[in-house]
Amino acid sequence: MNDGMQLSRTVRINEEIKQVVRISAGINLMAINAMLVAKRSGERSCGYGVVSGELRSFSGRLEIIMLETSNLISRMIGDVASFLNQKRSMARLDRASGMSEITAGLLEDAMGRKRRALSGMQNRMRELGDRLGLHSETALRHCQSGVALSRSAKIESVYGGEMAGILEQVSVEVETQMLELFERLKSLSADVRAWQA
Amino acid sequence: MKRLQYIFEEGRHKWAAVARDPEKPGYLIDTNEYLIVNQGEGLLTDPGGSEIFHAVFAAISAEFDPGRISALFASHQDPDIISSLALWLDFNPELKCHMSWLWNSFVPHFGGNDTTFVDIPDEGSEIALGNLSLQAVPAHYLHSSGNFHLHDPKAKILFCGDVAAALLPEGEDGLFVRHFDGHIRHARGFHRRWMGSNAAKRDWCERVAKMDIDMLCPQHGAIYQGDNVMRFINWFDELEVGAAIAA
Repeated sequence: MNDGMQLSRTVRINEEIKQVVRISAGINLMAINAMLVAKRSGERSCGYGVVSGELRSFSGRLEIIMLETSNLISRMIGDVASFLNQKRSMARLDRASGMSEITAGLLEDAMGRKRRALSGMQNRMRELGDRLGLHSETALRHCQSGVALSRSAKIESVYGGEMAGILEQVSVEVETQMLELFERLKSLSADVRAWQA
Repeated sequence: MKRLQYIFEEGRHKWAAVARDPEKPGYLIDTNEYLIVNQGEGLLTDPGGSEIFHAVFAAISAEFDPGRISALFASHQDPDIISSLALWLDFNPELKCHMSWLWNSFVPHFGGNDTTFVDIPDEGSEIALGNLSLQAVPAHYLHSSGNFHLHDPKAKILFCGDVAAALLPEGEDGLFVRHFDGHIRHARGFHRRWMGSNAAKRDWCERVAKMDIDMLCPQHGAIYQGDNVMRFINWFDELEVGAAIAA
């Protein structure tokens, strides 16, 4: 993978994370809506109220995970872009060094310093990549419990009496968004693993 | 790190300033990059030097997909304007760079080849960003011999390169000019030394005074808005420039 492609891949991952953040913000709003609807429908929707409360906690926790993930990817973009700059500079030194034995000798120290700097940068990027991988796996596992919660909400909606229709509608919306979130997180995890490779 | 801040938004037509990096080394001149967005497509003005590419790129990426930037605009040939060109082209080899024809054999030393550059003739030209018509406005000798500013008539914004620039001390580096008299002290020395022609300055002031502009966006310093736009034009018109030549 050339360096420009690595930067492009990092940008693609960032764009995917932004999508995930948007969807999870939407789920948070839906969870609030579900709680309000459950409260309006009273005792009969007690179970629904509990589940939507859990959904709200879920989306709060997911928001924290995704914020940490966003911060990581922002740092990675800056690091990959810096790395690209340094590699270009190294290529120019290398070209000058290759002109003759004299230039090779004169540039030996400079090339050594540049190589060490590049190696340090690569190690840092690898470390960030590992942390990003852990975060995306954590988000994915967390989302699995979110999918289960959204299914529980659908089940509980049946007991909502005259509000059952509305409760079911909200639950279906939450489940749809949750499944989309799950697919996107699976895709994100795969892309992060590919980036790490 | 640098931060991207929207300064104009009207539906899918936006301007954003990428400015103020507290981590920037002091030996590098501070610069403002502006991202113009229309219908999801972007154009980046004076994308910056190679040493700040990572900061500009990261700031843009946080708010906008840099893969949607289709073109760069270089007001002139200085390294703080365009030395990051090769890095931008590494990311997107299809990028075009709009620039004065004068520099089309100089700036390739920073990057690009014979398919990268879109020459702007001395009298200026239209640059389309989707269905948005931007105008490259001549500003030659202010300070570069081949120099253009970029006018967005719909947003009433003029990106004015080094004209209206100021070198701002810490603590006085807000994005917008709030107090004209306090701010302009930091512009005087720059304009007297960097601007080389009183005739060119007069020509620019006369032209720009007739334009409908709400924001004057320079490459260094702070943005002039509203009444401060005309205040600046009048101030600049009165200023003697070309300070390195003894009277």
